[in-house]
Amino acid sequence: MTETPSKLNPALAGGAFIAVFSSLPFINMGNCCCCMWVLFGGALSSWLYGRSLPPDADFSGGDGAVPGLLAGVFGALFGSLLNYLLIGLFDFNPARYLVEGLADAGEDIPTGFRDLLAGFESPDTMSSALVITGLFFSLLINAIFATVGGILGASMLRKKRPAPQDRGSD
Amino acid sequence: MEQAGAFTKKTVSIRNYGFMAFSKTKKHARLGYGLLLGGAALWCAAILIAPAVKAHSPAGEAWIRFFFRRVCHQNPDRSFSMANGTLPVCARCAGIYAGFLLGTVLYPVFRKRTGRDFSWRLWLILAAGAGMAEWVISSLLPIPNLWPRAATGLFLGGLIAPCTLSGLHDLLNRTRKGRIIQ
Repeated sequence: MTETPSKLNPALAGGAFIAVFSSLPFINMGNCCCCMWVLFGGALSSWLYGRSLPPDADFSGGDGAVPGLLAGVFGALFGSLLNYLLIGLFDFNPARYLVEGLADAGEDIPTGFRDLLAGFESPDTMSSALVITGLFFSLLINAIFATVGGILGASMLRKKRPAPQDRGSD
Repeated sequence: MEQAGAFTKKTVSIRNYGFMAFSKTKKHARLGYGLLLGGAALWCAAILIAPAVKAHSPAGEAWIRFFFRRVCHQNPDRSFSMANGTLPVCARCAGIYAGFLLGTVLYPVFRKRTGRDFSWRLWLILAAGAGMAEWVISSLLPIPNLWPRAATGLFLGGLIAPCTLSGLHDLLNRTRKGRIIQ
């Protein structure tokens, strides 16, 4: 019996993809399109996992789910770390951009919520609170979307299972 | 002969423990389906109730909007209006999520008709292509485009749901073989 390759490496690669593309300013706007980068990251991990399987191995939708899920979790963790670095190094504060973004969208921001976000902007509580809140939301959203991405990726790259007589002929 | 013997032995061993394992898998599949259906319904409900929540608790609505901010641009010009407010996601996203919920509800019927070996590739490419074509057309022509956006989203979401469920079903079938995470 052949050993199944590890799902960890494809998941780490997919997670890194998600983190980088979801953290960089402007590029991260791709996630506004139904979490595009997260879906692609899940699909990438699924594709890498499919590539590491032996040529005759079965590879279908379900095989992409776990690498996708793991990629989503890694993506959320790496992404939060990257966000933290971006805030520290370049004074890129997501709280400020969030308030501006909501105002640009023409929404009336409730006073309480604005105060809460203003609290996130102070250097002491900094955006740690926002990063942690963001991490929680990212874990939830990435886990869902990257799993779907992994399944979709695997379904698109699905290999047909060889007929039993073909399998037996080796 | 030896091969035939091994095959029979394997079949028998699967049969011996198979009934319990199969019923367990079915239970897992039902649980998985229920969780996905509940999650999709909750997701859609959160989108629909957001404008109504605004009247009672603006902060609650802001949190819902903050959550969906991560998955959608929330441009009010591209979002449906409801109860004196806009939905927290755009028309296309609303269509995708509504389609996903609809596809999840209809999945058992769909699976009975098509079986598990349905090929998704062509349909998914077609649905994504329809969405992109609509995006290009609506960028070039100044037409009121909320409903076409929602319709292409509905088509895509409706296909993603059975594809996802099929994958999850596939995955749950393997739990009994103990090779999910390695």
